[in-house]
Amino acid sequence: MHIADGLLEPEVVAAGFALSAALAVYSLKNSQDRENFSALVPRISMVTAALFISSLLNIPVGPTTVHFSFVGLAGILLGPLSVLAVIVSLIMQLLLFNHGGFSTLGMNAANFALAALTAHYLFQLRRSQLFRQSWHKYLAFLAVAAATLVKIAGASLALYYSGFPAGVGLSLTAVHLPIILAEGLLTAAVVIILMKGKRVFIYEEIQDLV
Amino acid sequence: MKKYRILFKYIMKLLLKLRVNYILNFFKNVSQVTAKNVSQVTTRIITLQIISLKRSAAGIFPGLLLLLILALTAILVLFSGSAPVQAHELLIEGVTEGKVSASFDDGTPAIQVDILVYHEGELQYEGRTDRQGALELPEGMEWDKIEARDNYGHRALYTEEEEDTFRLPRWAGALIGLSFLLLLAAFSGYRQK
Repeated sequence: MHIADGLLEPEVVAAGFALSAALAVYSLKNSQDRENFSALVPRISMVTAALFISSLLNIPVGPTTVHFSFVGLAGILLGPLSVLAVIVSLIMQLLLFNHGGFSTLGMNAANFALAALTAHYLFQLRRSQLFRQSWHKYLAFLAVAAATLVKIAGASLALYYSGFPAGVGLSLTAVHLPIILAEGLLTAAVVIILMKGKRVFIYEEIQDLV
Repeated sequence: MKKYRILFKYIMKLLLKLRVNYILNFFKNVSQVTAKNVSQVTTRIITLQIISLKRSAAGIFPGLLLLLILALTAILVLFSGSAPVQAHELLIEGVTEGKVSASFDDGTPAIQVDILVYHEGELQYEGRTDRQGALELPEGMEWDKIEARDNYGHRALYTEEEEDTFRLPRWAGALIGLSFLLLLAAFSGYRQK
């Protein structure tokens, strides 16, 4: 899901960088733990490590290959701070694995960050009256599925405005179905494990303690 | 000097907490995994999870995430045999006997990829790769740049004077990245203490 160099029009490239910068500012402003930021660095770097390594795990689907990204899990665990994790992991993937491209870094970061934020806000719904407490696992799955779809929509829009056919979105969605399923199930399992213990790892619950 | 000694001690402590030996052994075992002892590996992962859950409050979170990474690595190794770690970069392997061949860098042929052939900046020929990831060029065609692109955001360029550029092996990249992030986590944890 990393768009390579040379595929996007200059305007789309510029829009990508602007959007990702805006999202980075938004994430820093919206995390209520700015004073407590250094305490969260170990947590952020561990989630970044998971994001970074996940792109090596590929599944061949049809004519192409797709890989895990775990942006949904990052959103659930880090809240708005997941934007930072996403940006750092994308830069490291670009430098160390040649994934994506320098010119498309902004657009890729914006797509991934939006996906992580989607998962974060969707997972917050488990606290509303509409959902039972025990439904958090289903919500985790849904949050990951929605995050992946947001990522695909972002990439498809960027490609569409750079002259690619609109059908790209559909084909991208089709090849990503196995990833949505696998990543959703894995994230739900991790959420179940993390919510069983006494210590809290989910972003909003950390906030409650602060 | 004292400061560094304390830092070193802290990192060692953290690594011990994460049961580094256990994890290294796990990796060693994973590299020898066959379909037969999948259950053995699964038991190992579960044991590691239990150990990590018993860890002190500080160790538990990184431990669990590390486990996730390890479990995924195990899945990867299981599915790809002992093949090197896969990736998804599109590559043009080269032009031999008038045929352009394109593949992903895990070795799978890039099927139905658009190939654009240029000479002095002008598009000369356009076609799609077949099931072997190859496209035959018209006879006697001159070219100085070939571009491959698919509808999934992948793209590759190939020029006549293409040199063998140094590529970091995947495992080295993964090791460098992971150790950087782990060190960052350890260092910031140390500073808080």
